[in-house]
Amino acid sequence: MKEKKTEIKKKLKSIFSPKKLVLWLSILILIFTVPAFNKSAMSQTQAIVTMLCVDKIDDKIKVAATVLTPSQDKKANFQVYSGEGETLGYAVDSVSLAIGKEMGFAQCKIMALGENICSEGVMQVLDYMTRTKKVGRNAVLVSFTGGVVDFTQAVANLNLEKSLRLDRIVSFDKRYVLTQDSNIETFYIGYYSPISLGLMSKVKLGTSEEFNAIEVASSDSGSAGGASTDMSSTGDGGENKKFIMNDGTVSLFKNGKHYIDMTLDEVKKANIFVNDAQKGTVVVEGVTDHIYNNAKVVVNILKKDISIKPSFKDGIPIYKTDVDLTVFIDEVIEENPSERLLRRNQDFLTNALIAKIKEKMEGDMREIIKYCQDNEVDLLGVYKHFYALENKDFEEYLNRVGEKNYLDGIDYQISIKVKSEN
Amino acid sequence: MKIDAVKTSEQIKKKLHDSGDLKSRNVQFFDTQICILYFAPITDNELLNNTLLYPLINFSDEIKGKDVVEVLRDKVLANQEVTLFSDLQSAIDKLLAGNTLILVDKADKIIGCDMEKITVRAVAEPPTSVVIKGPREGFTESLKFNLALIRKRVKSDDFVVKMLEIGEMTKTQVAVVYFDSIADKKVLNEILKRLQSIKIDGVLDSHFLVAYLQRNKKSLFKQVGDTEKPDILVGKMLEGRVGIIVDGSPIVLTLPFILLEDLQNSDDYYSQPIRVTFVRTLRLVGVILAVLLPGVYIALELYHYKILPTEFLITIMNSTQGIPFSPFIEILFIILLFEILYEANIRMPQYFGMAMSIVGALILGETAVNAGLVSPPAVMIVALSGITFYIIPGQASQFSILRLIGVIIGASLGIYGILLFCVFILSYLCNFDSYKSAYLAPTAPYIQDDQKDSYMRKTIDEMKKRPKSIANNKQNEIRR
Amino acid sequence: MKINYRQLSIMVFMSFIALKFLALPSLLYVESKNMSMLVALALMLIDGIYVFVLLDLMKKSGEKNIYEFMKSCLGTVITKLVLILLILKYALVAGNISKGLEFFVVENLYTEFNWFVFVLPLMILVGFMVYKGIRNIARVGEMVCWAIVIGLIYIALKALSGIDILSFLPFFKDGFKPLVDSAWIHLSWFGSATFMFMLFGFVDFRSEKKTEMIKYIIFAILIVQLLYFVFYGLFEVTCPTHNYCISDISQFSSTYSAIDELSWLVVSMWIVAQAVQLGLYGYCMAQAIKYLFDIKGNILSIIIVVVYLLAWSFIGENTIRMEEIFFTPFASIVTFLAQYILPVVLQIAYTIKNRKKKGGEKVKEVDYEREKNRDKEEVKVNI
Repeated sequence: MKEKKTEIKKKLKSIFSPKKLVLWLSILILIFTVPAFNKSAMSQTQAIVTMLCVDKIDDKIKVAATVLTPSQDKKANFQVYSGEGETLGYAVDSVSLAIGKEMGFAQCKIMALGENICSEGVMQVLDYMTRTKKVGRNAVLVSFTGGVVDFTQAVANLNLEKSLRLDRIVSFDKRYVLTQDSNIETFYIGYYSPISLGLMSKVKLGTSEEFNAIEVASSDSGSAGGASTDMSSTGDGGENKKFIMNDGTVSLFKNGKHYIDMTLDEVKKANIFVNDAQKGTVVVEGVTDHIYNNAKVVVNILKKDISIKPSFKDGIPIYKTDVDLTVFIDEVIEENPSERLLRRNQDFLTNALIAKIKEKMEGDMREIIKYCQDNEVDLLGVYKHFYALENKDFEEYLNRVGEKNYLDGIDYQISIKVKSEN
Repeated sequence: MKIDAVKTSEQIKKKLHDSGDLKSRNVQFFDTQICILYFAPITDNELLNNTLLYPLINFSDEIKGKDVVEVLRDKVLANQEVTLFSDLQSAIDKLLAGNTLILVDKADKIIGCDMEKITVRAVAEPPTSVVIKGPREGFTESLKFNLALIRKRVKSDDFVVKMLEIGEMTKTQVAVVYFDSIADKKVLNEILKRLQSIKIDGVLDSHFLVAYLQRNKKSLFKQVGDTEKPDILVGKMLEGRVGIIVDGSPIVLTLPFILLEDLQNSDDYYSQPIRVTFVRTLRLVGVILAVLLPGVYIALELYHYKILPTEFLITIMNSTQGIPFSPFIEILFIILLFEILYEANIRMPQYFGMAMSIVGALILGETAVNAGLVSPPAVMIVALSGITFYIIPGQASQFSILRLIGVIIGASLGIYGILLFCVFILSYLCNFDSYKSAYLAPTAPYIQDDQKDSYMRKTIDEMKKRPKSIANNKQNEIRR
Repeated sequence: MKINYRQLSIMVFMSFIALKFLALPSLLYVESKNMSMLVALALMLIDGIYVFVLLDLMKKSGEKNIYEFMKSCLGTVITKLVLILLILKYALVAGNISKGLEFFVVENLYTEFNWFVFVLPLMILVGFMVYKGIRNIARVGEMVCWAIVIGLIYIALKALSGIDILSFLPFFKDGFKPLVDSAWIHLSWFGSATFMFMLFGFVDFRSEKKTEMIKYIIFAILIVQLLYFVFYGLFEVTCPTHNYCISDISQFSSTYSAIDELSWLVVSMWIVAQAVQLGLYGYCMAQAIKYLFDIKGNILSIIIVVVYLLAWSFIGENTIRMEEIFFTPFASIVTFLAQYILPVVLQIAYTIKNRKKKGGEKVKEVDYEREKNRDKEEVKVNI
């Protein structure tokens, strides 16, 4: 036994002797290093997707992707490729086959979903893309109107020629008009919440005539890209040029399916309840007092402080919203502006104006509450507030009225305070 | 034993193989024959004439009944250092070291006079540690001169110089210098023990001793500090380090050595503390950039494009398009080019080196990029890393090897590999203690008191205690 | 090769945060919902108390290592059984860290990844760290600790503005039972002080500052709570779908890129921290194996640890999921016994043994206060 032990020890020592260790290490380093000599940059072996559009047309999933392509001509850096298939996986594969490269979604910053897929349900698409294809959950999520390739091409053109990026355009919105970030994660959070409500920015595609002057578009959209199929629809001649336009519309999704669209005006009204959306304007008309004479006044909201206090009184839920506004008078439109408007050191935020602002805002808020009740969407976070702060009473209330109509039986109390910048 | 001056002189000449530069002169001193032997190149002629020959010839006192050797020593030789040798070998040794031997007929001792001609270049600012403010004196190749530069700064009875002779052939003078009450005795003894045990033909420069002083001989990392400036040496000795000065070398070795020393610069102590803190942080960032940047770049290109911002990725994609080599070969090629240029540049005569650097940096780089052999980002990354090396010149040679390893690992394993490499290096250095001092102190182990002069620096009056990061006499920790 | 008190405190700190930022927060959410933070808080507090119980035992053991100390209190047979228990605990933690690191790296850094190739360098590193010993691991921990802390705080603060406080309400809606269930199921993710057993006899208490350990424990708890607060506040109902707390928080809080550049540094630092932790638990496992089989030298026990971790990577890849083992009552029981019962048993055994010896000789305890004054300087420099 002892001999065997010493033999094993000797063998172990010889294997792990410093000279042999160097040899082993060298072999190991070679094993790791040799493949690296031939390894190409990943950006050359993978098709790096920066945006993916998905829609369903005639029972087939159609995808279009903006792929980064190296080129000395910067206008050719974003190429659009498209493909279709029975499922999303097949459709993506078909694009892969066309390019001859694996698709890499790690740089995918935007996921755009077409109208058809939105109305059928988007959760499977999102799940597949985030889990299997590793699209980051912070990718901007938008819904769009129009053709998949047209839309993708229009967005690629934005990048190329105007140095504008759709994700930034949409994210910029959140300070002004959107109720929250429009990305995959926030959509998930909304979807998995008890009210199962998801929000998504809606970007439209159309011709210059349709959008008049408010378009954000390229003047020569056809010059870039090498789209495999529907390139022509973006128009080479100029007549069929398609542009994207973000007019502040927000798509509401219930249970992952498109439910209703909110216009910019409705979104703005809803934003009064939301602390995150700090910016905004209020337009009041017919202000008359010692300063104004039937004036139309545009008031800029500089700061907004909202406090929501849900409570129960005699079994009736009360949703009390206190809004503290700090405003700045932007424009005053009068038929015959008097010299009073030019005086310095004068408080232009008169009682009459304050009353008008309050009246207008309360009206807007009532309207949006009615909108929510009519459409059975809890945009204001009523459920969340009651659930968090008045849990027991709220659960009793829900048992009484049912999950569907809970917005109707609530007493909405609104109190608005307005003060000037100074 | 009485000697015969002429015969002994012949004997010595024979022993020294009738060396052509060995000169002798026979003088009759009263009725005694005297033979003077010296090596012409290393003997100061003026000194020889003034202190030996003139007094000898002009001496007229009565010497009858007196010992000639004693008369010569006490009355004739106007020299500071006169030694009497009983054995021939030690006399020859001294002769080789620059002494002039005086062989007196029928005497039993040989007289040796120190007449060594000290040929030194002028004290100049050393090229390796240029300062903006602060003393510009640098060590020279003469041990005596170097000791003089230190003595000029240190007027303390605590300062000790221990002389050793190392090298069988060269018999080089080595001085071990330290403050007796500050240096750690164990460390000092260990250094002396190691130096005394050196068996070597010759010591031509202080770096010959490094291998004998290192604990870990095969390691890539520097384990012995060095300096060319007396103010730095004295500063280090005041912290408890021991200096080793070698005759013939302007570089003085210091021990114990910790990594932080190379992050510090003598300028730091002559500048504003806030500025110094900023610069030291910059140096630290520089180290990381110098070693890791090319490796990280190659890792990003080969494995982690998703980390890069899209705009940056596009720029890289556009500029690397059409390069015939794989990114790994491309980077290796540029590094190789850079190292060749570096080697050629420092070895070339200065006037030619200037032209060379322009050819190398501008023409070669530019042409390679234009020819599509290498991409601009890769050239930029390697150049940036190359420049950053010299933020800490003391570690540049180690860093270039580490950079190469970083590139290989980055290309083979990506960022993950580089991270493991960093942990490995940290782990290796954390255990790299020598002479009772932790290599990464005062960071690991963390020493609170020493933070005053680590990555940040406080004012001199706040640094009241000697650093604990290096071994020194703990009984004497307060700076007086 | 002893470590000082500060290094021990930092190791406790790192061990406290080591397993907390990968899958644990999302797993806790499944049972305890918005009260998950509380579960983590309670278990970490208990762990904190046990750190002091173990510190007390360490001081009582003096220069003895854990094997000698347990043998003197419990006898050889029980000691060997306890060592098996400890090996199991260390193996579970090391396995979990290794697997967690694997998934974390695969998910966050690479699009194509061959773990079989990548696991080898990790094992070389772990083997090297274990070989170099506890002082080495302690020093590396000391170096990287603050970078990790700054990184974690950066990530948390960056995402703080997106938090909805309402998602933490109402408190205790379903009572305490889900919290207790959750604590029991996920107990094996805690028990962060068990590594201290293998440090008996390796800590120099002469540099002890009374409040240092408390500070580090409180700091660890606060950091974990801060990140959990951000995690639960950000992701609300989607928490169970997030496996990598750190990278997911940093990804979510950056709008324009996958993860912003600074956060990548943090993610990288986290990988470093995990590697150091793997070294620590690898060391503990190797030490325990050494004591159990009375192995002289380190090489054999290191080989066993490395082979075990390699086996996890190769076999565990397809057949067993580490988390599944981690969820089992088996893992919870192991942790419960190793972390919460063993120190108490050792305390009792030590007291009984001391009582028996009363009148006779008393087990010699080291008077650290006296030692501290005697040669205080040497410690500071040489450790």
